[in-house]
Amino acid sequence: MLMRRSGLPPCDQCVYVLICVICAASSVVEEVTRSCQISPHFYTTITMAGAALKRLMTEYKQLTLNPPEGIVAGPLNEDNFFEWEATISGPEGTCFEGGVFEAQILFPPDYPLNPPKMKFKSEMFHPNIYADGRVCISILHAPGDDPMGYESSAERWSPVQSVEKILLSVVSMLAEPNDESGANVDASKMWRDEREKFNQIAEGIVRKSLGLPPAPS
Amino acid sequence: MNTDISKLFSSERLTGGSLAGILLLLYMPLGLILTVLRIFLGFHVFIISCLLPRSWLIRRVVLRVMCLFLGLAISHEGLEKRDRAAKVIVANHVSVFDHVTIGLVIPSVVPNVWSLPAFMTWALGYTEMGAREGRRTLLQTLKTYFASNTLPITSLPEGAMTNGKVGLLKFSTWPFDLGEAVQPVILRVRRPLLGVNVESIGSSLWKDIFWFLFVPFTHFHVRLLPSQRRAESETVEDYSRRVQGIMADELGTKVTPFTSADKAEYIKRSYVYQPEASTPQPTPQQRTPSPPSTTPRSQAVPPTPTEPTTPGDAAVATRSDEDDKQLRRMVQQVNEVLPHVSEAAIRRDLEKTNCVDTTITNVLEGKIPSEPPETPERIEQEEVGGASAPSPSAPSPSSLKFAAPSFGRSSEARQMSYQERKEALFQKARRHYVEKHGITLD
Repeated sequence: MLMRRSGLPPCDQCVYVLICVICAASSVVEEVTRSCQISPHFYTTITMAGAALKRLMTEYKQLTLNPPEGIVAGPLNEDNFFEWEATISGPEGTCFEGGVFEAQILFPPDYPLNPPKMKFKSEMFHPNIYADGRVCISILHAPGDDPMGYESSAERWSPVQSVEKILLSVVSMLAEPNDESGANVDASKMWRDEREKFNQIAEGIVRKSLGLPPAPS
Repeated sequence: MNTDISKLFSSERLTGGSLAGILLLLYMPLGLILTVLRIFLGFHVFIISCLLPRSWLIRRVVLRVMCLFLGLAISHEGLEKRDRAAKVIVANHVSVFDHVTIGLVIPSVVPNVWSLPAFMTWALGYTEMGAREGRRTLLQTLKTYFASNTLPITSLPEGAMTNGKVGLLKFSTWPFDLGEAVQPVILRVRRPLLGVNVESIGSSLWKDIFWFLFVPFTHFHVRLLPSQRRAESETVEDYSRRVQGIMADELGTKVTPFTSADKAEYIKRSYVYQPEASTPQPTPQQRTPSPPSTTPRSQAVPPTPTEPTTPGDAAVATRSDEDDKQLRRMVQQVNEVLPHVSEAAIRRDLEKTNCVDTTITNVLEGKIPSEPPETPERIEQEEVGGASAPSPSAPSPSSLKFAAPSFGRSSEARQMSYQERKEALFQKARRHYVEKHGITLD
């Protein structure tokens, strides 16, 4: 009735608007579905988070009672068990000797299945650590994603790895940088070509991490 | 386990046979128009439900009428059994609108126990209660919530939908761990004529909602049961099982030992192995509905029950091949989480508990003597730590290890110990460095 009286153009408009709305709604719906991954699997996610929590608790216990040398690690705040902090001392006999470095470890909700992310909070200058502190080592990469294209899947993340193994790998990375995977190109180059200068910078970082004044040059 | 997991869910959406198929075809144009109209009406319902406070009677009246137009017909029974003191409503899970339905009969809030993003939580009418940070946070939040609010919470402890005709999934125990009385509610859902199932396995939320809007109507029947309280001697586990038993009796279904994780696993399996189902492969055992009654009961070996068996466990006493596979899968699940515990130990405990979660808890609490394959683990660690590193000039290990004498029972104790050890590490390193380099500090 209303449409007939108002003539064709408005009616066209109405239909047009209607189609637009439906299109928009359907694309929104699709988008939301994709981004939220509302699927039968969202039930899995909760049980996964439960499993992750339990696993993290065991690892925390183990790291508390029998930690590797020079490492203290645990959740920053137990309200959020998925964010840990690790305090790592620089390995002896290397340029990072004596330093105490703090790093943040973020676990995914499906933790043992996917690797955590690790990021140094202390200032670092190292071929395998990005300028923002992110650590680039193979054990933190799930098999499948290989940013550098040279890692063998044997040294990648798998659920049998653990926080302890990650931390030990990080210590060995500090001791012996891998200058092939240049997360920090400047550091890589300096490590290769100007070892003296690299050692000096490392020295400065160590002092800084201990809250000591920089060495008089 | 007398029930086959495949019978708990509808495998197909349309199960009406040819007559219903013809009806459905004839109905299709009308259904599509109805769907479009209901999408618009749905927006209004959504806005109204956002505007009006949950506890108002008018909200329920308006929304129930509007939901009728959306195709949700709700009837209820036993509202006089509503116990004001029961702050937790426990219902079986049969459709995506369960919480809406219950909310319209008994005003309540639904804590978000799924890891949904904030927008979805809000849009679906869930309330964020911190389930993501773990069970303890959830319980804590709920307790503070109860202290200041009178509205009860609704929980669907099955965690996953079933067709509501065969069995109830194993309840998760958090609603029973709150120390509040629980009001069990049973939901029956019906869609006459067209033979369209309310749930079907592996269907997405949006498909479920589409069918809700498409069919002429879906009838929900909500029935309240007398509220239950936890008895003095009961554990949380037993309490949840008792309530589950009561609900299953009322529904005329069975109590099953399957959990929502089993459902997810089952879905995964039926997806992954579907193409191979025809080849003689033993893996998709659960798809083929092999009636367990045919398996000879005589070969059943009763396990040695060291714990008093509860009604839910009674089914475990008889073991068949089917059960064995189920058990093996559970052993594997536990092993994935706790790779350092031997399979034999896990298996022994699972035979008793028949629940992955309980077993994991048992391991963590040290009830299971964990016989870790210690040596290979240690060797591996040495490889990781030492193979590439130029072995540091042999530091005395005891001086560098910052181990705690014990793992604290409470969160605070652990936190304290952690901070102390961190500080000790730092101070020691600093002192060492200062001494070594002969720095004078002022």
